[in-house]
Amino acid sequence: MTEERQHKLRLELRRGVLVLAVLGACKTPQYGYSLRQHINDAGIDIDEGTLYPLIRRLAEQGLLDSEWQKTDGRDRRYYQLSQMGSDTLTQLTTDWQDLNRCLEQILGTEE
Amino acid sequence: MELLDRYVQAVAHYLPAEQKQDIMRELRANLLDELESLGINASNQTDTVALTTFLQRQDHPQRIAQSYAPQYPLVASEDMGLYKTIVLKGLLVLFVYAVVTAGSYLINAQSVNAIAFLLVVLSSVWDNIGGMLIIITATFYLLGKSGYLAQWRYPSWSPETLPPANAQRISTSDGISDIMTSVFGLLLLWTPLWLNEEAYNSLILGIAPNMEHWRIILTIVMAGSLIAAIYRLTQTYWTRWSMGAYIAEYLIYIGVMLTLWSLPPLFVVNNPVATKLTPIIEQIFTHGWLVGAGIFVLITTSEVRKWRKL
Repeated sequence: MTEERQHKLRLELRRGVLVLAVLGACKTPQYGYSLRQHINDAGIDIDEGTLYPLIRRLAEQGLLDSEWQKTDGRDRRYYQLSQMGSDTLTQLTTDWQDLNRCLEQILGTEE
Repeated sequence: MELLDRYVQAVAHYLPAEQKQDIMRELRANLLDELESLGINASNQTDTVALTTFLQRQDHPQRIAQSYAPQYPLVASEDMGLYKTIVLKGLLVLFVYAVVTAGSYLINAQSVNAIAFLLVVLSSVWDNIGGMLIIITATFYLLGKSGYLAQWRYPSWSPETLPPANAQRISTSDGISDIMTSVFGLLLLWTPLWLNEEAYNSLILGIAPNMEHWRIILTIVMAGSLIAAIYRLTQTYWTRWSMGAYIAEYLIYIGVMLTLWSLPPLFVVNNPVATKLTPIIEQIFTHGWLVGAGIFVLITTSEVRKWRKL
């Protein structure tokens, strides 16, 4: 398999997980860059071209609330989990854990 | 700062008006945070090279705009099947309109020129195809964007309504040429009705006076062919019944041709100027009916083979 194809498969695998990561990270208010740092520090490498449009999309879907605030003399849009986002996160977390258990069984990595 | 503003403005150029200001503000704020983390001061002239490199590393402004505000495609990929079906049906309507236009053109021009008939059909389709595509595409865009298309995307179905595994598609192009041949043939048969006296008298050929009843027989046969061809255009697959009728149509034509071959000439030279052509034309028609019947026998044999597989 070519490196490019492998890269695409990895991107596809991560795409769904990113939503979960963003929702999880937005339990506390985050602006674009701080959110990226938060997720990168947790070990998930995500570039700004993917993350910033994704946050806007989640806000448009009502999963995140947003508010402009002035911090350090700079305008920043802060995002935080909405009530709907919180319910969705709970559901997605359960789904993720179930899926993870199934995959561990299939992949033979369960201890 | 000027370079940064130019970049943000370039992105804004591709954004929808209602989201432009909001996305510009957010994009600018995000870029400033990214620059700050890299220790680049966008306002500082000495950082221009670093700022240029940073902006170059961002994606093309158009792609950034697309990621922030994805554009709805003119036709979504999941609607392509429906789109193709509608375009094909639209083409058929255009074609029927073109045949009617070409028929009226011949009547107005008092001409029986087959090439002119064909050219008028083609130019009418060509003139209208662009408008038709624009209307269909715009309708798909508006209905798709507002979510109305989803209900028509996949019509209800059941396994029983699917075509049989050995189903054979009816060729649309064959249907179109059948219609054109029948319409032109009917126009030729009924030249006395629509050609003025002068134009009619200038025609080289006409039906022999003792064979006038064949005008009615051929009209019935061709009108039957025309109705059958129009019906076939509305169908997607052959059935044993429809292909049987198609074969029967060929057999009738073979019978007619063989009968005409055995009878006195159907067409005679009317125009006194062209009387010297009479022996040649008689030869052409004597052999023509037989050759035509032979060709139709070959076609019928091939259709019978297909019919047996249904």
